[in-house]
Amino acid sequence: MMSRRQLNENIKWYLFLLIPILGTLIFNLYPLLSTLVQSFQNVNGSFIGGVNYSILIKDATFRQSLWNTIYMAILGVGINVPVAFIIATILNNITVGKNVYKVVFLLPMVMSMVTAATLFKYILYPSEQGIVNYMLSAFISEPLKWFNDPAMARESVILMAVWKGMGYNIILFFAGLQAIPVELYEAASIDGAGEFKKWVYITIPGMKNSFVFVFITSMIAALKRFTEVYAISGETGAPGGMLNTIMLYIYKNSFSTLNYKDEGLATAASVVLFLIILAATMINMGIGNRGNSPKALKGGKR
Amino acid sequence: MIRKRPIGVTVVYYTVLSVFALVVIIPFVWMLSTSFEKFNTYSLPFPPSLIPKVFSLDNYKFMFMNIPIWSYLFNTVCIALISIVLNIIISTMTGFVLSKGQFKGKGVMLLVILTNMMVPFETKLLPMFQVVRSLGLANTWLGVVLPSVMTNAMYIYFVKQYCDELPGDLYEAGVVDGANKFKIYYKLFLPLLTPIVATIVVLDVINIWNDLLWPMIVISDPDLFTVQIGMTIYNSGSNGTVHAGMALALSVISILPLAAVFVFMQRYIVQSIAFSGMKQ
Repeated sequence: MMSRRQLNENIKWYLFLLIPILGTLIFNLYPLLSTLVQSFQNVNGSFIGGVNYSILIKDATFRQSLWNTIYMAILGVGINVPVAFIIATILNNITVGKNVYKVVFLLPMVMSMVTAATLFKYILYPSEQGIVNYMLSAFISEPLKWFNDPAMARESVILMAVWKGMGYNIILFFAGLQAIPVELYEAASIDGAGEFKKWVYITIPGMKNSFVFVFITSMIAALKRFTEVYAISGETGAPGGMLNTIMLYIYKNSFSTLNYKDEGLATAASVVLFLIILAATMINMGIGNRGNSPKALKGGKR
Repeated sequence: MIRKRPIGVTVVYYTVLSVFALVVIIPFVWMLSTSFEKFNTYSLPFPPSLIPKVFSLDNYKFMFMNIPIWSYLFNTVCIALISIVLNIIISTMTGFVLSKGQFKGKGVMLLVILTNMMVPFETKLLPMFQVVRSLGLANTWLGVVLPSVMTNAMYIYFVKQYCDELPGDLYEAGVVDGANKFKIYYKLFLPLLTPIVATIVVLDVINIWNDLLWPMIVISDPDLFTVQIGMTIYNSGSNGTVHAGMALALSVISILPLAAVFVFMQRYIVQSIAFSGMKQ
């Protein structure tokens, strides 16, 4: 049994934790359960079993949103992560001007995604007035339609997202590179290994934790993609619904003032999104933990 | 011993980096230039150029006349300040207690708080808004800030990690001197947490500034719009429905506050990003 004094002490400590514990209950646990409950209800709040989920599966808009989201996530992460890693290793290998390049690569971070979308709408203007089409006009006859063309709207969004987000990943990888012990490279040099061999056998394995972290965070962010598509074409998902994403679907069905909305569908889609993110995280971590112990080369603590 | 790298490789390295740097910089230069260009159509001037042909402030003049950008900026800054202050208080206090506190159930409490990191904010929007509305916080700054501030386990975790590396004797010394728990936190530990607080400030400023979705849900009163909401409302039409010059002038103004933060805290920003990647 605890003495009264000990009990008093404990209560005092718990008082410090009051706000985050309340927050966890009100803004995490309750909304999570409520999402789950509402996903089994119709618009009037009566229980309808899994009907929302079966509507969701058959809903062409949702399927398109789901596919667009996954397609853009894979394309975006697939371009962003490897290129950022290569740039980071190059940056790590030069002697003069490291900091200048770092600052330049981070510049897009001063822009919000909304500003970036505004800017890219004009940079990728669908006629030769746009600077990119103007520069491309030497190579192609017709100006590209970018965000206005259903066949390349998603790719244009990815182009913009990569431009905006790559600097962040470069800095993360660069920091990871500093944590690889210099001795490993020296030992390899003595053994006569060239730059490329060192990159393949020391740098890449040594960066595993950075890779896992960057992959997970980029993947989760990409699966929750909303701001980019909303800033480009609002609720419409235009052109041709190619910019519909799961988050846009959830937003429209929860809060739209312009279109018909269905909270049951929105919450069911939220549950699906939650499960997809969970699965993506697990897969990433599973890949990351295979092979050598992750502790061995854990990123340096400073 | 470091082997000398062949000069060709160095040239390739610098070329790759410089091409990349140009790709980053040109959109900025073009935006700045075109925002100062004088043109009368709604669409862009032709041909595109990186220096204004006829320099003019018209775009800015019309933008300030037509768009309540000062109100947007004021609202965003207020929301950012409230969020930063609350985040600092809650994360340092909680992180300190979860690291140095001596009480039953500390491990369980840590786990309970960390569950917030497992559930993405975006997957519980509707019920969160229902809660905010029933608390009477719809259309308020506090409504925008509270849900994320009260569940921000990441910042708490950063502080806890940081406190773990501070000596435990420090706490004992405070107890011997007869200070109560709050005094030990406030007088002894808080001053030592400055570096991690700076990191939290940087990350939070960037987060709040960029946020569109949640503020857009909570706020429907145009007088309370943030910069991001205001810009989206103005720009989300298709090409040609808004004046390009005004839109670009608005874009330039919208990046100035964060640009100022970056100029003054540049070192901290690189460190903060690197830190957030290593501690998770």
